[in-house]
Amino acid sequence: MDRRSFLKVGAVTASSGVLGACGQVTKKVIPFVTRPDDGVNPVDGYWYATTCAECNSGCGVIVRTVNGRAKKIEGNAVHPVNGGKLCAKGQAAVQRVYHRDRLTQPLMRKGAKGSGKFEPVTWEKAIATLGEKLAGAEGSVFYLNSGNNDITAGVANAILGKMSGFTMATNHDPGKESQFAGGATLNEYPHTPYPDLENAEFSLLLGADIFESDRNPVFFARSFGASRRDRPSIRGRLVYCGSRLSSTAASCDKWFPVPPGYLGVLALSIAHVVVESVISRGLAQSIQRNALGRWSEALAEYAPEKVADKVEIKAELIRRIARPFIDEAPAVAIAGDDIAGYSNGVEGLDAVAFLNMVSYEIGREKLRIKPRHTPVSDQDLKQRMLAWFGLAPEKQTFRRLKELVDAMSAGKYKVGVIHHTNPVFDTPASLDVKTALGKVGFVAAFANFMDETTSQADLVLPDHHWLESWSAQVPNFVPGVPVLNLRQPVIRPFNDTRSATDVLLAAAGKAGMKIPAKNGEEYIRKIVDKFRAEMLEIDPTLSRDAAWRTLLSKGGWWPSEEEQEPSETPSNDKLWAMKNRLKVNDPSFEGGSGFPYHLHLYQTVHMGRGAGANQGWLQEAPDPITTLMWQSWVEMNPATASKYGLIEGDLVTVTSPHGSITAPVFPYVGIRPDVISIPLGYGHTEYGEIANNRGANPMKLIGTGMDSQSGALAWRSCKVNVKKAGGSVVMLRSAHPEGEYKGEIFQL
Amino acid sequence: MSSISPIGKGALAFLTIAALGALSGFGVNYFGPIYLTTHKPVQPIAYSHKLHAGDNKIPCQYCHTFARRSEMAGVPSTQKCMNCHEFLGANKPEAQKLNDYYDNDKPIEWKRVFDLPDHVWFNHKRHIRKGVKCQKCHGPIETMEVVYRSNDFKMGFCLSCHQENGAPTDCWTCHT
Ligand code: SF4
Repeated sequence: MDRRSFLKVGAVTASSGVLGACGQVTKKVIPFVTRPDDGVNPVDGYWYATTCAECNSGCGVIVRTVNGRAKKIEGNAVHPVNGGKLCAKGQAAVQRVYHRDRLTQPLMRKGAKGSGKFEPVTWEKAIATLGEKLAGAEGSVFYLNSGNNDITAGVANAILGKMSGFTMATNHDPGKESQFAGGATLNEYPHTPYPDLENAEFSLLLGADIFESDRNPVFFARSFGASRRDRPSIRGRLVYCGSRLSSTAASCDKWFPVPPGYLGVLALSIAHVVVESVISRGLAQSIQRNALGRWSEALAEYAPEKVADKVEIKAELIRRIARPFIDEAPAVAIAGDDIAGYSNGVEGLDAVAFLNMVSYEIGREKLRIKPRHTPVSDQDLKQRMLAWFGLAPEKQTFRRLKELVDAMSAGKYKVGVIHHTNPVFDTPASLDVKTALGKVGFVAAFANFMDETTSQADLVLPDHHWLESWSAQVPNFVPGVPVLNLRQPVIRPFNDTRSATDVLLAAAGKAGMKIPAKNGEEYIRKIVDKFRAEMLEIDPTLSRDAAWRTLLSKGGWWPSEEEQEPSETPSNDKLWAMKNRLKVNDPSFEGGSGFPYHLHLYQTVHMGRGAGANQGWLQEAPDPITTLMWQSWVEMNPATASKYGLIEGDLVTVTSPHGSITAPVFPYVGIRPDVISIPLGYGHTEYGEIANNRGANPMKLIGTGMDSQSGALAWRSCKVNVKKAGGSVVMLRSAHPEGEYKGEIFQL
Repeated sequence: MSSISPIGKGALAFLTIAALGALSGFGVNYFGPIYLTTHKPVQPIAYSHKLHAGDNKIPCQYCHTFARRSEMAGVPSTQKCMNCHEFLGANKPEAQKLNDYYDNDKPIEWKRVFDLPDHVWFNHKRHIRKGVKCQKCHGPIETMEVVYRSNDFKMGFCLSCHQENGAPTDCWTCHT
């Protein structure tokens, strides 16, 4: 070794020595300013009750905090929605609090509109700017959120709702929106009938992925467990019909791969069998006999023999599926995305509701069924509570969103407020929310992270994480009883963020507008004060503060078990009125002869609509069906894949009339050969390092076609073509999938 | 070594450098202490243990109340400091700083002096209950104007004491 080399070696060694020493990062110890409670032990920590806000289901949670930091989130065992259980997103929520990508201070746009260039500003400036803009925008303001009916929406409605021309809308939420629509046509109440899976002996899931995405996965998974375990001599039986074997379908006893868009027809065919039996066997005396004749007439064209080819189930099998609805009550049919996501969605939802109602009348006759219908008085209470949250159901349809976006594009809005939602990413690309936002005078976005929508804003207002802030919520879908969920700050804010509700109130107050409360906490206390007399569980002798603390420690208010017993049976008037609606048209699809495959988009339990994509914990959790992680994929039946010479990991380009994406193939036997399936939530571009450029966003493929009756997006009615793209990638996964699903598939 | 071409020599030298560099870096990181024993960070407030625990004889556990109750000894809340400083030392600049923190509701970000790697599960409560003096591990704290790390806290340090006192030396006693 010459002298020069020696010197080099010496230098490197010395610097690595220094580097080694630099490895001593000095950690900090940050004690409380004021000790929170007598007897707080820094290690044991404390559990506080609050409500999960990772999706709109409203599960109650308890959070363990140690030294002022949130350490673990668990389900609240006494909560009527989730009864102590949580989904993966709820469990992982704590990762979002301490996420490195969190927005830490208000940002004002610096570059051109939509350039994503910002500079930090003080909160005072941010609030003053928002106030000014709101005050000067009479007649042209919109508020858009994710469909979470929390108090920010309530406050926004209370402040801005007074302005003429104020528009409130929610982002597209696959499935839920159509459920709303279905509920509205059926129920007079805007809320869907609450299917009692727990007490049913037979459940027919018509495209309802209730354990992964629909309404509330935790609630239904819990009910499913109870239906299988909790009754000594009864094991709940479940049959799934739909074009893909989802993880819900994999939990059922049988799967019928019905062609896309024909589940409503199947429901009416089953209803036909039921009605004919009612007539021939003289069942259900409570039903008016002349109504029966009319139904029978309307349903004649749905006789199993006539629709067997359409639904691809043999007639005698349809009759067998119908049997539990006649004989083995309690039985329940549950409709889901694979009914609602087509152009005939509401017709299908109506058909399922009709089937349930007739079946209920039969069971009532025999006193063998006890569905947990919500007492009418409770529905009324729920409606009155919901009024404080600003989001009436008609504001939650895709039609409303589309009208809003069209008006934005026409330059109608001076100011827009966006609250925790990312429509640029998760609505159909053909809606082009991005361009529309560019035409709005001033956009303020409340968010925790920079994303595709927030980057288009003029003012970014970093909100507290839900573990850091006050809020309240009335869950929309389950359970049937009214529930007032409370959210309290269980930790101090980790960054210089502020609660969206407080910021909105402060801005409006500054601008001299009339505000409903000083801050979020006061608004919630007003709600509680208002309804306290009807909350029979609260001891009336308690002081205002004591009652408030009792509610906070429980996580909210809901009626006790005894009170949930129905006091009035719902009237079946609606049933008689339904004869005109006993018709399901054939679905219409987008894409002509060049597009041979149905596109079946779905939400996974981890990614949802895509908000979970920036969390490592959720990315690394294997998908329950494919066991894939950290990427998106295109599911094809092995027969279809082999037609194109594709094997697992080969890149394939999926093209629709609206666009195309490329992703690796995952051959999957649990899907019809004429269907291509892609999970939502992947393919971000501006959502931080963990989410960006991971997979492809299939929202580029679908159009904005709607169910004309309900205004819900027909998000499953698009057809596509596929082409080998050349090249392949290694698929990351936790285990070989063959062992995971093979045993679950039933061929009929 | 005539068979090695000039390019070969360069490559060899580079590899040697890389290997030695990597080894030494690894050595310092792996075998070296997390903190050198001289670790003596500058704290946000020049708090003197000598003044409080030495001269004024305030018992350690008046402030570090959790040492006897939990795994961690805990650092007192600012409120606890104010128990005395509401009345004492108002004219001293360091006490003034304390007041500012308290009045502005801002926590004091102390720099950590004593720490153990994550694979060690140390429990204060057990040691205190057994009657082990704080100074046994933390050194003569009551004489320190500025606290420094007086021991390197390597495994040998723990083991020798465990052996002397007949405490368990199974791996999982500490590495659970
Ligand atoms: S379903 Fe999951 S994400 Fe939604 S509220 Fe419940 S725990 Fe949270």
